[in-house]
Amino acid sequence: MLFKKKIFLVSLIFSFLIISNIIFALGIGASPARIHFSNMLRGGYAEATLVISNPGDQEIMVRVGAEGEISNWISFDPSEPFPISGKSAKTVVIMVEPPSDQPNGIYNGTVIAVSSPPPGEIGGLAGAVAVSAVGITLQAQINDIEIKDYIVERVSVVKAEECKPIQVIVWIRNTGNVRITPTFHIDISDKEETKILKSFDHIGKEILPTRTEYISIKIPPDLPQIECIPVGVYKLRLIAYLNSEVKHDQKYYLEIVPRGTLSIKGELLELNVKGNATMGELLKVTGKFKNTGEVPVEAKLKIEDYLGGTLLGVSESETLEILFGETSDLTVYFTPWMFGRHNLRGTVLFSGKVSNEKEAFVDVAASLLFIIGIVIVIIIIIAVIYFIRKRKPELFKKLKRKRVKK
Amino acid sequence: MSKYTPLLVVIVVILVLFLLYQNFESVITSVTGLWSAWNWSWSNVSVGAAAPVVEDVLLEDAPNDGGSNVIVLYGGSNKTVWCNATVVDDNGGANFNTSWANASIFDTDYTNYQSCNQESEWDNNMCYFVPNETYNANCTWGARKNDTAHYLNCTFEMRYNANYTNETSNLNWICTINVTDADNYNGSGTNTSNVSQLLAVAVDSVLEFGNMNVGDYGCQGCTGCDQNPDTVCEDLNHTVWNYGNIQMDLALNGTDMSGSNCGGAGYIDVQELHYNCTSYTNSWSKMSPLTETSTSVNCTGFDLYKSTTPQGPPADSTKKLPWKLHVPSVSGYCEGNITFNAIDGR
Repeated sequence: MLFKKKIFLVSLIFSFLIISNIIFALGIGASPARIHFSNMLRGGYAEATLVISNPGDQEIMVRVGAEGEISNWISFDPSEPFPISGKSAKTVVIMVEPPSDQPNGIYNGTVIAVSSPPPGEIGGLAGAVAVSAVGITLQAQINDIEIKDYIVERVSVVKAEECKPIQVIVWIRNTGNVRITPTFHIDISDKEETKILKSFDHIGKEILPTRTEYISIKIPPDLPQIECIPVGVYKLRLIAYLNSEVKHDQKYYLEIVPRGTLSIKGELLELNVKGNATMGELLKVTGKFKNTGEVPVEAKLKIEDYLGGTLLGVSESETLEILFGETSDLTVYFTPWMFGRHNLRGTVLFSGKVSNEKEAFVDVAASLLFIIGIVIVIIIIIAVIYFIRKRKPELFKKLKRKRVKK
Repeated sequence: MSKYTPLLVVIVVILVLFLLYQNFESVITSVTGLWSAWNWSWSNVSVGAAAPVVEDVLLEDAPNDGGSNVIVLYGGSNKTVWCNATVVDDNGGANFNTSWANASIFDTDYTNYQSCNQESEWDNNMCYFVPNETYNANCTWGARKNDTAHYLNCTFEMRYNANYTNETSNLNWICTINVTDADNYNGSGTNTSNVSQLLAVAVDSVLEFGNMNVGDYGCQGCTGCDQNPDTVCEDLNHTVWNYGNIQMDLALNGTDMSGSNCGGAGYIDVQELHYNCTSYTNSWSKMSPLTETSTSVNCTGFDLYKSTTPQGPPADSTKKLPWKLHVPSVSGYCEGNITFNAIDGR
């Protein structure tokens, strides 16, 4: 009787533990809750970022889609489902492109971010897996009036070493509905602004409507006015134009420090590639690089592909400018032409320096085409031998006699 | 008397005045601009104590997901918010070692914002301040910018229930940094940013109706329920959490309950699942039928408010959504999905 009671008690505890494990809260968050695209052009473009967060502790898979009358105008980056680990977030870019024949008006839609159902068994006859989702209200106003404008959101004048390029970083938000190309004029003068030491003009890159991008202006040390500005504190005047209209005119301090003062440091944090591939498949290798120094660097990822200790090839990414304190993904594409376990060793080359090395592995399987090719080659060899033997049997007889003599 | 006597007298007078007048150097300096270069050892010019100046204040979150001037909160979590500045003190770098700094961030709708510098005023919804280790907020002196300027970095752990920036009332958040230097002079600076609206939901992962008989309306253990659709009885309550900073409603949809172990008819139609967004303990027939995924129905009136907990981790803001199921002629085990889509409930 006592034994039965014990069994019952143990079963009860186990059941409780199992139920506790099965039922848990699954959630999703998104910010902002409403997005309004105003003053759009027919056939124009606008974008906004949506930050999707996971309030739970477990990883969730998220897929994003659009509903409503503007659903066909909307695309996402990333467009595929993606994971978000517990208590963290990811950014999705929502891109809106109304058709060129769309009449003026206000159009509505919803962006829905859905977290995937969790795995698990449900007890009893009937049950439902609860899926959490968030619906973000979208509104797009089309008035087909061209607006060309931007605002300078932030300016950073980077501390520079003597006789090295001076760098100014300008964050610009395109507040209009057409592409813009801002231009800049910079004057560097002494602290008291009695004399202009250097002047420089720069044409920025093209920025799409509603997008915020930074423009990096590099003032070379070999300008005709003065070759090297001595160590000290100076005034830098930045004027930003849209065509001939002044959009921003402000003065900043510029500090020139002795050569070798500023540290150039960086770290390759991760090297990622998908674990399995087939021969001839184009693979994307991503290296997460953090600029831990005090100046922006131009960095590129270098990948060495080893198979069984033999170096098969080297691939390099495009050069990307990474601001100090920032982390960016550098991407290399490569195609493995041999099957087996490839060992990829990545380093980042930046400002004449080489980062730490990271490794990644990819198991490459022989492709169907390769196997068919091998089979065809074997068949051809057998066929050739067969035909030679049939047409010229004396050749094989000679070979046989030679072997007998030996 | 020589013809040079008047000239000698003038020179002597100038020399006497020169020696007597201690600030002569500064007078000459101001007139010619050259004196300072001579570096006279007896010069006695002193720089007065200067008040610190707080420049380039920037309030932003990390990571800065929403771009400049926008703080994006994460559902159910804290978000690190920085308020950084450059402090300039013409008395030199040594002054920074003993300088004292504090910072606060508050929303502009907070009428008592001037008091946002004491423990009793701390409010997750509208007021955060430093220094106070209890509240995970901190101000530290960063690197030296130059001989007279230093970076100051203050961090706050903003809760998910912090007030959002209202588009119509233009409510936004202000960071104020106050600095007192070694000479007891004060300086301050401010910067403004917006806090984005956060819509975030969590739900219990499963709804278990349990072992029911064919023809039942309700759930296993729903007291008072029977095989009559009009019987008023208990519900299967499903918990919904609001992990954002705005009031929310729900839009609901689902799928038929089916599966390889679902015998008899082979499925339970999604419309056999009934819910009620505004009241509890109704009969199955008085509740709304769930619809398929393609036609989600808004559960307006659910009105789940954001958590308003002022101090410490925000208490859960939850609400139960009542459900009942009618079991048709099935056997075994049938399973479907219900999507709880949180929508803006303001």
